[in-house]
Amino acid sequence: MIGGIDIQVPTRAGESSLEVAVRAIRQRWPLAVFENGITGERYDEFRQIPLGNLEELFVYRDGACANLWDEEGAIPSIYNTMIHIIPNDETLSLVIDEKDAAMEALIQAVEWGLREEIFCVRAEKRAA
Amino acid sequence: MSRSSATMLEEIIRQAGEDWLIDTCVPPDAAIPRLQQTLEQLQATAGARLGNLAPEFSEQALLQEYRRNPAGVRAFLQVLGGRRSPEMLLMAWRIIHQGMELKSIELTYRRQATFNATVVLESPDGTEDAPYRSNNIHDFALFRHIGILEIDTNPVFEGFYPLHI
Repeated sequence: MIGGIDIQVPTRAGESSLEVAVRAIRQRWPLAVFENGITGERYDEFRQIPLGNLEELFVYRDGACANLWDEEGAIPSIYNTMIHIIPNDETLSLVIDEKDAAMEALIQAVEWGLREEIFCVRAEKRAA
Repeated sequence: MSRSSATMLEEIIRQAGEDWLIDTCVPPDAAIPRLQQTLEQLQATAGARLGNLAPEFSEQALLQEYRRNPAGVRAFLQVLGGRRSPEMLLMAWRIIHQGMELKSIELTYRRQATFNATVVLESPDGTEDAPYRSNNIHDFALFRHIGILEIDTNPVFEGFYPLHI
């Protein structure tokens, strides 16, 4: 994404980081559609997203917004209807157009979701 | 179950780094047949509940899902090895594979008396599954894998994730 505000979220969730972010965003945008940030392949449903094989993901508020982004690019009337996610080993980048209360709340939800101990604490399995 | 499919399941488990599923089984050779039996029970339960919408629990289907969502399959394998009920395993798979959301969870427990769990899942378009119910105390372990979110100060259980084992 060119321009926008890049927010770096620390994570120890590894390969689950992207999924946590997608699931949090989907709470706000239940009709969200998704696009591979590298190949442009579109996924209309969560189950289609290759979560383990993505370098970048665009999450659009809905299909109409995705089409507008394709046709018009980043025009002000559709700001904050797409979030660009770039997962890395220890950080998750969330790129948005502008900060507003709703977007900040959503980013905070992702941050706290990624800080859950399920992603940070090592469990041990012992033979029964 | 053919020898080749047994090998496939073991390969998925080892590739996922969940070797303990096999290595802590007594004897280890019994692990794969037990897991295959669990998958067969799960397939039957899924068919009874969801009919032609039932997900497939073949080892090939697991491998495909592992390629799409390795973390999700790791989470599923971690709960597959215990004494879980097929119904609640199906619930977990619906979250992992099909993106179902947790609409409600009800838990009751009385020491040395009762354990009851009821989970309702819904899809993003609002379609609900019939409630998933269990009185098997071992199913409580599944709840350790559920993610926690807070959206606008409202509570949300969402996702089914692997533990760091």
